[in-house]
Amino acid sequence: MELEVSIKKTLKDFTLEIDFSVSKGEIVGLLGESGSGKSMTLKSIAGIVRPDGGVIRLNGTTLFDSERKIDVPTRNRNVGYMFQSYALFPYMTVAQNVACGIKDPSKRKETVSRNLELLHIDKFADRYPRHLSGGQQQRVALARLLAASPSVIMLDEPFSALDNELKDSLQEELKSTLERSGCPILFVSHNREEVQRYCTRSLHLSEGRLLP
Amino acid sequence: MFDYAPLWISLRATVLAAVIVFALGTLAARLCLDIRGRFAWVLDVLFTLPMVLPPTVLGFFLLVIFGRNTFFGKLLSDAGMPVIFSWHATVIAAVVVSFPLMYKGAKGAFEQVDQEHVWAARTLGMSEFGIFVKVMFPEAWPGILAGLALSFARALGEFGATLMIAGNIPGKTQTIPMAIYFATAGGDMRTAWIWVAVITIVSCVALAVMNHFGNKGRS
Repeated sequence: MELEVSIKKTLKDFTLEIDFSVSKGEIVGLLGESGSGKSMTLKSIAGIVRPDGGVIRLNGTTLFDSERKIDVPTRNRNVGYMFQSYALFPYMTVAQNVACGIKDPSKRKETVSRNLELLHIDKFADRYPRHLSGGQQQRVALARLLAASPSVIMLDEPFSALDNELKDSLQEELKSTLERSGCPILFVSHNREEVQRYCTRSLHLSEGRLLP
Repeated sequence: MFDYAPLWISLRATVLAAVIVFALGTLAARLCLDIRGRFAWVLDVLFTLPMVLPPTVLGFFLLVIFGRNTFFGKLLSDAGMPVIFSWHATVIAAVVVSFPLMYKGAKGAFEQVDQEHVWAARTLGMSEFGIFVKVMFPEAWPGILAGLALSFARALGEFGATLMIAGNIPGKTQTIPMAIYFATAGGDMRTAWIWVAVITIVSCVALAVMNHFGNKGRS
């Protein structure tokens, strides 16, 4: 098992209590209504919010363990997180955005151009995010994420900001790119069809609990 | 021959104070973002206080701190750097009165920075220092610049605290506001008019320059 999550967190309307694992190369869809705890689960794995209790392990390393008082800071978790808004840095060019997560400076240039080419955005390298369409911004966010070579990839409603036509053309491409990355992937969505199309398996979340 | 000394004394005090306040105010604002609870509240009050206290009260405190009767003042005096009635005092007074404007401006600007950008940077493994320099600072820049413009204007117009700790020594500590006050008090309206015009022009030019750079940062 690559990613193991077993956490508990009391939220305003319900308690999030979730237990699952994702293996290498698997794309697991986390399905549920808005406000069912999907994003909270991703944020807990990324270390953005702190669960009240439980354990999170990634490739055998403990990221969080409430009993052993382990809480690895987000910076050291090596998680790839694509925000719903993409969260591109507005004052950096596309190339600078993609370069942000590359740890080895000697490979920075090469890694940036490889990932820009992979997602067909090399011609936008010197543009700023606000001059790009939603679909192009999504590719930049994905290129930035992949360039950081994460140990797990988490996508929060990756298509919610896109129109339908664009979705269809992007989805196939995104799927093959993700499959090639070879790490566990968590895909959050409220759209059942989207999850079925994409994911190897899906988990249904309702009011903080997984439905059988 | 018209004596231009107040212009140079004012510019020296204001520019130096702006540089110091820019660094201190930005750092203080960044520091306060990480501190939560009662201590944060105490710090915020402390950093904002110079804005609401009368300048004469600030001058009084500065006299107490830097005066020759205190340990600190004596130390500086013995080291050959007496503060009271020196040109350094004009800078110190300007720093103290203009600091809250820079601090408030920078703090507001940092609070406006999109938290998702900060978290995205953390997931990418960027250091907190890297995030501050590359993500937060550029996004907060227009607000920081607005704070700097206000503190520059405040430092240039500083009168009360300066009079108390730097005095009104022509050619040494007499700033433009001081020259205006004493020219008017002495009935020399021509000199007063000249300085009023000069300080108005300097203020307008400074604000125009900062607005220009602020707009440039946005587009």
